[in-house]
Amino acid sequence: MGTPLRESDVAEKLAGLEHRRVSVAKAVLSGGRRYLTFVLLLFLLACASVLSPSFLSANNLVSVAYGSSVLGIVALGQTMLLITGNFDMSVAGVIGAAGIATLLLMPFGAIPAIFAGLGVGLAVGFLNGFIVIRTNASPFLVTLGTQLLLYGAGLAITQSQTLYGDDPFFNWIGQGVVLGVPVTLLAFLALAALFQVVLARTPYGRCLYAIGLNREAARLSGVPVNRIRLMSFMLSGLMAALAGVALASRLNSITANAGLGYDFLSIIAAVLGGTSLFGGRGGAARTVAGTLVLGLLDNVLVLLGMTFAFEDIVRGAVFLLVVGFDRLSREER
Amino acid sequence: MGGRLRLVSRLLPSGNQRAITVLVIGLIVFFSLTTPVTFVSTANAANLLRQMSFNAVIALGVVVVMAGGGLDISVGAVMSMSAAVVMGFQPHGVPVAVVMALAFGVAVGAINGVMVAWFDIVPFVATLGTMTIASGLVHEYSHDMPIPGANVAFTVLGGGNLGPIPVPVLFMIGLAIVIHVTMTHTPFGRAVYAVGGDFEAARLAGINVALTRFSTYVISGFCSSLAGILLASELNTSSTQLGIDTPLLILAAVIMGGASLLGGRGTAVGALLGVLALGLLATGLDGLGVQTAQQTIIRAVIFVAIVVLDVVSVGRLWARLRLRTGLSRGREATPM
Amino acid sequence: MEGGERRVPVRLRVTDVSKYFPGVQALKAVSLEFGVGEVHALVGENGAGKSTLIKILSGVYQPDSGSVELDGRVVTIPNPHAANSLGIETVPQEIHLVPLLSVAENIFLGRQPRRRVLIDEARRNKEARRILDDLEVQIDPEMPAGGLSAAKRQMVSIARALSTDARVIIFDEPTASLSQPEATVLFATIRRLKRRGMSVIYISHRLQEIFEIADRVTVLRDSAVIDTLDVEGANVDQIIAMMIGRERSQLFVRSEFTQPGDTVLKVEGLSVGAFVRDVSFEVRAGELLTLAGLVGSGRTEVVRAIYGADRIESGRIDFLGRPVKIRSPTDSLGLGIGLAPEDRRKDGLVLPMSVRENIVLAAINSPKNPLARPWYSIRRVREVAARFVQILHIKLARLDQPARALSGGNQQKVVIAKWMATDSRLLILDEPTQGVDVGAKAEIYKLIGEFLRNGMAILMVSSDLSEVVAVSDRVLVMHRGRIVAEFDRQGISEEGVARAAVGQAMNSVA
Repeated sequence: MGTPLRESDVAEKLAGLEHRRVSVAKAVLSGGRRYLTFVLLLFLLACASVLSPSFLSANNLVSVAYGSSVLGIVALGQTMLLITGNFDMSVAGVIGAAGIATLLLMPFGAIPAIFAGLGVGLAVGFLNGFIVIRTNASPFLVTLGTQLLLYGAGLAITQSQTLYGDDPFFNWIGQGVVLGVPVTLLAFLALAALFQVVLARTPYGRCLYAIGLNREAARLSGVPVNRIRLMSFMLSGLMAALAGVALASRLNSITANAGLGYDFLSIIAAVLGGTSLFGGRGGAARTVAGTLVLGLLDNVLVLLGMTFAFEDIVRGAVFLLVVGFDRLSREER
Repeated sequence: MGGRLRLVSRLLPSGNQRAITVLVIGLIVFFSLTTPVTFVSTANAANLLRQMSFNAVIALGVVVVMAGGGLDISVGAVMSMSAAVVMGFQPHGVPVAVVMALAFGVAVGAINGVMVAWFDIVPFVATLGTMTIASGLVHEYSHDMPIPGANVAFTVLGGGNLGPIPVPVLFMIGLAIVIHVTMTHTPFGRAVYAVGGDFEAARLAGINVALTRFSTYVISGFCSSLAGILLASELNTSSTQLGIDTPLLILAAVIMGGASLLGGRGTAVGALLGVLALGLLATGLDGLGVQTAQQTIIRAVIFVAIVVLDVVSVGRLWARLRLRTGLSRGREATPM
Repeated sequence: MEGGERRVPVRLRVTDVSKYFPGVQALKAVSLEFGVGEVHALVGENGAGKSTLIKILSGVYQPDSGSVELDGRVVTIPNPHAANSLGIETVPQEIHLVPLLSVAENIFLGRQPRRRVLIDEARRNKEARRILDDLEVQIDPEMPAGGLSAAKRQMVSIARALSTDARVIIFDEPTASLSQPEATVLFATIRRLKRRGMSVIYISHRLQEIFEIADRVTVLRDSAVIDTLDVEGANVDQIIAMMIGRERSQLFVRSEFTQPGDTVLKVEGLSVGAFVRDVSFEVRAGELLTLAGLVGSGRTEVVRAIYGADRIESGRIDFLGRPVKIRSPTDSLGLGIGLAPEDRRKDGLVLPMSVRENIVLAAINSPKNPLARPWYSIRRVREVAARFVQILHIKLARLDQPARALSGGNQQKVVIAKWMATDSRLLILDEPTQGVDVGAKAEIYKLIGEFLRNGMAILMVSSDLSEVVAVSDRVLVMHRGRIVAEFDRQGISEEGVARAAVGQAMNSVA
């Protein structure tokens, strides 16, 4: 008696055949995709150095990276969440809210103030995660709502005024320099390294990918899916709060709408770096590359004498091109 | 009496929409009682309706996209750029300027449509990209300066009145009628609901799902540019500040009026009601002297509540309807 | 080879149709005739070829050889729309209706009658009403299709088929989600269609139905037609025998049946979902208990509920002698229970992920497991994965390759490896050898034997009768959500299990 055959197995065999034929092309494209971001990075560096011979100096490169580091910190948190297949639009609100909390509590000392700011991020992350997981609502819409909420709260608290703050330790975060490298940049890179390690070498990190790629299979394998998702929302909130603190420190001031645009930008940075909105793909190092691409893009445009407006146009265009390339090279899910 | 009831139930097919109508009436009553200044007056009503008509025109386009299961966050930027274009082309004559502005909206809609329908790019990503490009275009094209109007006749479109009724309101009503009829009585409109409601059913029925989805985005782009033209006409200038809040506002309005991120639902009437409710809320709160900050918080809470309720009720309804018969969505769920 | 006299004119004739897919011959020279005004049933086990034949008739697949004739003319059916235009309609198992559109709209979806630009709703609704009345079904054509019961949805699907002048209607497992009274209504409808000259092709697992509704029945096995009989004069045993076949594979017969140890799992009064009721049983260490029955009898629901993947309505579970509350698979993992789900590609593996990661996915979350330390050592993971790959003879190129690329048998081995890595006390296997080639099957059975020797308890769900008989210590047969029969080692027979599965219990020991 032959083996009972399931429809899905026939389909599987068919797919296998298709797979083999198409996979050569896909292999080339997806291999290319992995390096696309770095290629872009190198390309932009090359352009920049052609336009401005002194661009490649250590000083200048550090300064360019520094300019992107606040966005980068947000993008890192966003990436961790994106890998699970969720995302966080509230970062734009958290940045302002955390900065406000920190500056408000500055009279009590820099350290408590900073903890307060970070606490805001954790709390918002918890709220986001709780609502999304419990109600199964769209993460996009829920976090959009919390963003608005935070923005409104920020406006109310600051009465639409700018808040100012000054404290030596606090200032050091945003303006200090260690061995020639700005503290914020160091924090960005250190966090990126930490996250990279977590993603590659901890059960939590590996489970993030599993959840993003196939949440149900992960659940059936005993992965504590909801707990991990909640933690990821909180992590994203924490990173946004850290970015807010750094921003407030850099400018010695904060407004309620300081985080405007960081929601979309952090997603763009992550996606440029190869993170997929469907979840299951992405990495900290790649997000660093994506962030730097955005930063370099701006620089190159400035060097070309183009106005700020062009940034948006070029950013959008590059984003769509990368996404399109992504689509072509991605396997069917 | 029976005939009128039938009309009401046909215009407001879902419980959601009836609830909203009640809410709108409730808000009107509430604010008329609590505002120090007269809330209900013809002048007030005309002004409120005029202000809401711009958003309503956009919402009518967005509701079509969402009924088809999609999402368009580029609407604000398209509106803004269309406003800039229509002002910038005025030296060539108003008709030319209007055509150029509409062409822009349709073009962006077409690009969005192609990306989503044939390249299979997630609607959020596709429209995020075009939104970014369009915002940049606004700044670039207008060189960050408001573009002043040269043609007084032009301002009739947005600022004028036909008798007691503001002109843009007429556009809004006209567009609403067209969209309503299309969605309710034409094969295309029903195909949109089919594609959004059960993709597999639509596909199996022979509906060209890609073309249908593409068309919804073109409609959305057109509506956004129309709104931009009307707004520019009323202000008699364009500005780079336009449209920043728009996507969120429109989404909230449209979802309140019965549409859903899950697709397959939403009507023109519902969209109008949603915009009206939010507009009333804003005007009323203004009249009560509530600050922007508090208003933002209130709007946020309402938004989250709507979103959660939307999923909890529509989602559960959906799930119940489908799981009863073991249906699948037939298509990968979007990451939204 | 046909049985019975030719009493009715032939509408649809299939001659020598074969279909080959890479690696498998799905249909071998199948020849059948479907008559006018006749209900012709197709029966056979999963994978016997029924699906493939139906898909060829409805235009989803193309035959590699052979011909299809409709009303005497040879036809080609390149796609489903061609099938529809020829008058061949299918009422599928999974019916897709747009919930918010009305019944009438669903019936006419994609081809609504028009008056100039707009849809002619009056005409459409009238037409829909006429068809529904013809079917003697009480459905308001103007109500949204979403709120309908499964039976009514099916009626709508039939109405849709009729709206296009159909001459052949194919029913694919139509009673799967119907209650008894609803099925009766369906049969009345089918008889009505018969009287109007429709050719009905009826696929079902449920043999009593065949006797109730069909005129002729064809048994398929191993991609070929075994025989076609007139239903009048045939009996169940005959048909079952044809479905099972004389030869039994001697792939594996357990050489030792050890005396089972203590009770590992005890389930009492379990009720799950809408129709699984009052299930009670025990599984002991070193014992393999199989849940047999037809697809849809509730077996998967039972095991998923035990594992914590789905909610339990009522009932009690004791594990290792103590009552436990299992609210999620994470709880099960902590207790030492593992599940290899029915759909291994969708639920058992994360296909895009590498084999080694899939193997350790459960272990890294399992308390007290050496792999669950905060630091995930790639080296250690590789070692563990490599060890299992070797033990299980998993054929792959590299440990890093995505699980997607493996064959069915090897994929199943990866799923099993996942649970071996967690040191489970109870392993639940849902259709473990479905879609697995002969060689891998034998290896899996050998593994099962070893697990049992080491004291593991195994709860298995299987639809493969020869497998059920060959490897089980005890068999419980489920039918429509309840346990209807129990067989111990001495009493197991394929016929006994098959009869119980279709609801004709021979020796039911509750």
